[in-house]
Amino acid sequence: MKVLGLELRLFLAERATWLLLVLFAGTLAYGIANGARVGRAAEDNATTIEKGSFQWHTQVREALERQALDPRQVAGRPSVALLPPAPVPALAVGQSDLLPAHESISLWRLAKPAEARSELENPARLLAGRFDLAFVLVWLLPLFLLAAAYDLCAGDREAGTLRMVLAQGVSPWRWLATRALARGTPVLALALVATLVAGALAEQSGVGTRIALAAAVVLAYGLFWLAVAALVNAFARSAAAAATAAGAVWVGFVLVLPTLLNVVVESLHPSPSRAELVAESRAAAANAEKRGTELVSSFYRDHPELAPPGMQADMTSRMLAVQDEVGRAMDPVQQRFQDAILRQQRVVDLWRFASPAIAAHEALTDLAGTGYWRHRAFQDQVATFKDELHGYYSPKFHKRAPLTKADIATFPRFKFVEEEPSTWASRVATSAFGIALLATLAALLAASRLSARVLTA
Amino acid sequence: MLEAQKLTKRFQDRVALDALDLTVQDGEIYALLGPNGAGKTTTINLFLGFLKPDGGDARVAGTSVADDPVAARRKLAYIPEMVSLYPRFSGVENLDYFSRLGGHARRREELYALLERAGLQREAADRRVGTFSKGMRQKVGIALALATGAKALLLDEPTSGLDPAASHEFSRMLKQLAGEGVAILMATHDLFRAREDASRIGILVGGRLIAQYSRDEIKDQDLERIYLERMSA
Amino acid sequence: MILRVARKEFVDAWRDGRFRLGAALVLVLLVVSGLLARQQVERARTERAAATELERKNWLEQGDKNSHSAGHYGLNVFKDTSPLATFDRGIEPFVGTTVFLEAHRQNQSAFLPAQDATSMRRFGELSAAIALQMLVPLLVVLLAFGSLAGERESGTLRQVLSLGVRPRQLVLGKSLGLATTLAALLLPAGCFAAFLLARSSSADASGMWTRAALLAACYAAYLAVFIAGSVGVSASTRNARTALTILLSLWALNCIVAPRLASDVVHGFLPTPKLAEFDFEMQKDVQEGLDGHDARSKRLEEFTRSTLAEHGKSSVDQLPFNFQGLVMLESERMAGEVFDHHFGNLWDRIQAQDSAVAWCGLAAPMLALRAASMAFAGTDFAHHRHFARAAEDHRRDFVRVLNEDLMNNARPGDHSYTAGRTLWEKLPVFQLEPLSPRDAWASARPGVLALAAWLVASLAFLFFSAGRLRVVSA
Repeated sequence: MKVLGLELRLFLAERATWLLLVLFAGTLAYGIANGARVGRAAEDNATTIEKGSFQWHTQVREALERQALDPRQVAGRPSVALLPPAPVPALAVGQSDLLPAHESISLWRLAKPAEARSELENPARLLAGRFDLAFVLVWLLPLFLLAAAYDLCAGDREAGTLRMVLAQGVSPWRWLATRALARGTPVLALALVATLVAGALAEQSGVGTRIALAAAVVLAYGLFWLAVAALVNAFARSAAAAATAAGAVWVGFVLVLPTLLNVVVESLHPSPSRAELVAESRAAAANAEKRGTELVSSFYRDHPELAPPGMQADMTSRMLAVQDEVGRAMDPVQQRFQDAILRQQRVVDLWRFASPAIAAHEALTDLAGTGYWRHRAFQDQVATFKDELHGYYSPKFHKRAPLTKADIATFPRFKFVEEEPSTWASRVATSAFGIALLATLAALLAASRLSARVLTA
Repeated sequence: MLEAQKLTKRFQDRVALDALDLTVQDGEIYALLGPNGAGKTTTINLFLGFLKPDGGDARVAGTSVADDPVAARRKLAYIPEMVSLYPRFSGVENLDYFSRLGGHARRREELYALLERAGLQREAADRRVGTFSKGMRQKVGIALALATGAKALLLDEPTSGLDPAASHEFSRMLKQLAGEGVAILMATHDLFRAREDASRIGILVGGRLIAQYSRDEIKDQDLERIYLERMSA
Repeated sequence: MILRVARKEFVDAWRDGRFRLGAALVLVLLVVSGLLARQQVERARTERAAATELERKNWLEQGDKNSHSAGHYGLNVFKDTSPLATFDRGIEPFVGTTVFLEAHRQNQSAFLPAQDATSMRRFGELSAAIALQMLVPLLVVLLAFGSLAGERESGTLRQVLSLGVRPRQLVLGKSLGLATTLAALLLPAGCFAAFLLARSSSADASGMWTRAALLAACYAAYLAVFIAGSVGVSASTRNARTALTILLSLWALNCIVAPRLASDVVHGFLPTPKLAEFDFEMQKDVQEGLDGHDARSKRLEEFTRSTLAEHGKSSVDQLPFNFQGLVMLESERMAGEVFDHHFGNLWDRIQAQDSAVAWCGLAAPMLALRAASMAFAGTDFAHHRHFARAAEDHRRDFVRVLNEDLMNNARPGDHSYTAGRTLWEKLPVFQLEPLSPRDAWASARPGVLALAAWLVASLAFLFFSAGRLRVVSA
């Protein structure tokens, strides 16, 4: 402990250290500010949409209090499904700039492919990604840690001072680990403070668990890179060689492995074709359209309880019947499409430990509430809501039954149900544990290398 | 011929070399003695044109170093304390490269012959130089001086750290080069080698040449005593 | 002398195990990414062709209906991928691949491939362009950081200069040697790429080889900047370690920090309108007109009056054609003006953002290169806009043909009029005329100019640092 303090004081005595720390603090602050801005914009959007939707529902309720309504009047207006703003947006922009957070659901277009429109965005910006806290933590934190700790002993070995140090009877591994911790602590402390600040900026309450887990992920991730620094130093013969090796490891884990994982995903489960999905659904629609009248009649044969007086189909019931048929025809195709995407993401989930950068990034976006799985849950719930909407209106249309006061209670409204905390928490905890495991492995490797061989040889 | 006239060099406030007058004739070996920081390496750097003089002039075979450092360098060879070579090249490849840079392209066989003359056998010359000892490196340096046909040779602590046999071998080569008319300026701490090899000895203290002796003058005297006396004076 | 130094550097580099390892990895990545991208592009192309064919079939077999209803039935057109997207996918994953063409509305292209992908896509895709933009410069840094600083430390610099080599010759030779080393690595990869390109299904696309040559020139310039800059830094720093620290920091700033930073800063100054506002403004202008003076209904009334006056009739039923069809034509024309205005503004804004980011390339060469590379590869926004514009023109043609049919063939007031397959067949298949390299140049210009500025500046820096090359630190 005493040595740690001494090393820390030594490290902080260098002017370059302060430059490094100030730079890092600056990038962290900028990242948080950027993420928070995106979060605020999402919050504003959500408020506007919620307000509109609330007004509409009030209107309908008030109208129904007064008189019964033709369901077609009410159903004509698309329902809005809204993904509430992310719990900790300042932590990571994640997929929130790419995937739509609300969807307009029209009863008349249920069978058509989702018409979800995301915000207008310059595609080049989506390509570049945002300068958010997750970017600083996943991409830049390792660079700053390595800059602080790449030369734990390689330079001393080069200069010959290492012989002097080891002649004092110090355990090489102990000494190296202490040095790594001393050099990593200020940088890591800043990263942890930034994580806490991102949590404090959250508008929603009850994000404590998320922030605690985020801090755990950041800590494990930081320790992994310190272990890499130690490992590199156990091998490198000069400071320049250590810097080169550290840089190579960073490029491998942060730049190359994720893109290779993309390659693996794409070759194991090729992306499904949207173009085909679109064209096939149109073909199914055309097919059903032609059989429209026949479809309605057969529907009434199967569901006499829903048949209107005189079995006469009107435009609306005909359209519903056509839609049902399109839905039936497209179900397997849609399912194949969604399954392909899900399979891809499962591969990513499985292989995220190939690089701690991937695991950390997935975990941070998950905790921010801007990750894949929350958006996925939203899409799934939207699909369920479409069925609900259909189930609510369809009998009324067929029977030409009016909407009455009694229907207010069951009037369908989309309400996003957040994933169970245990679901995301276990996902993230697995990530944190995996990263910590990798860190331990790297540290053990460095330790065994150091004890197996005299550093000065 | 190497000549220094009123050669002066300052580093900030410190005078590293103070109006040095020095001439090394063709075929002469001049040993420059002096404590650390006396200005020996500065003198060599000025002859090489790696430093710009603050006064005076250094000339190599009549060419002023300040006026045309490149032309001056073309006429001399330089062997530092530790001859640096490219570790991923063999001895002969290093020699080939350096001599071509010096403007003297030679056939492989000639290069081997030169190395052999400098005392490096063929199988050693074909090895990569990563494992070369200091002595072997010096031999490549000598071979380079031979290859470029230098008129003057600058040596910076050439024998420090050499074992006695290598040191002896090295001085034999030096004498041979001097015999061929090369002017040799050698900065050294090695009193023994200076006394054995040098035709003249200069003592440099604090940037000033405080004494010069010809070989004959110190023939029967104890060089170490003279040196220490001069130091304390 | 320069060649002599260059040759030595070349041999030295290839004898360096670390470089060989790095070079092998980069080469493997280049080849794998090239093959993979080609496979993906070919598959996308096949899928697109199949979908286009199916969609045409859907259109032709939609059955008899009112021709305006057919306009509502609409048509999907699919975006074709540029053959050079195998090299640089650019923004392709982040723009829609499908546009739904229908009456009354100009739809944005939908279905971004990245939306149907895993979260991993955001880490970046493996492409030859990315390898050349980010990894090869790292190889350059690895080779160059010690080129002079290391020789100064080891002492060979003293010896080399003592032989009468001029610093400028040495520095140029080193740079040339590095360039040759890279060329030996990349030229075979380039030939392989050219081979793949020549065999690709769209090898006959006009201007493709010009584009490929321009791409090669841009990447050569970019790598030259890195070589000259790295050798220059190595010549100017006291030791190899300092040179490495500086070069790695510059690399990270250029390749990792700059893209996100520049895009965030530029969007702060030139924000993209919000979707809700954009929709609202456009809807408002469709209703009220661009000048905001007259409501749509009023303008249509005015149109009715003037049409009747022109034909000297008092009622629209007396007109010799279906007036409803003419009104639809007119309202499409009016809406078209509004769409052109709003989409034009939106797209201009996006292109302004892109060009501002490209000018940020004056601070970080990768931004300049990326802009130029996407432009020449045909995967930047200008090319997407070209597609979107062509799709919209196609939409207007197709809606016009349908409305004209209604106007000329439906009796006035006849709501039961239907058209059939003969009319559907009259509508042409959507064809995208590719942009010429000259057009690509317009969007590549800021990037190319910034890159050229870097090339000049880095060469000047190289000469400057050669002139200041010191053996002895005074």
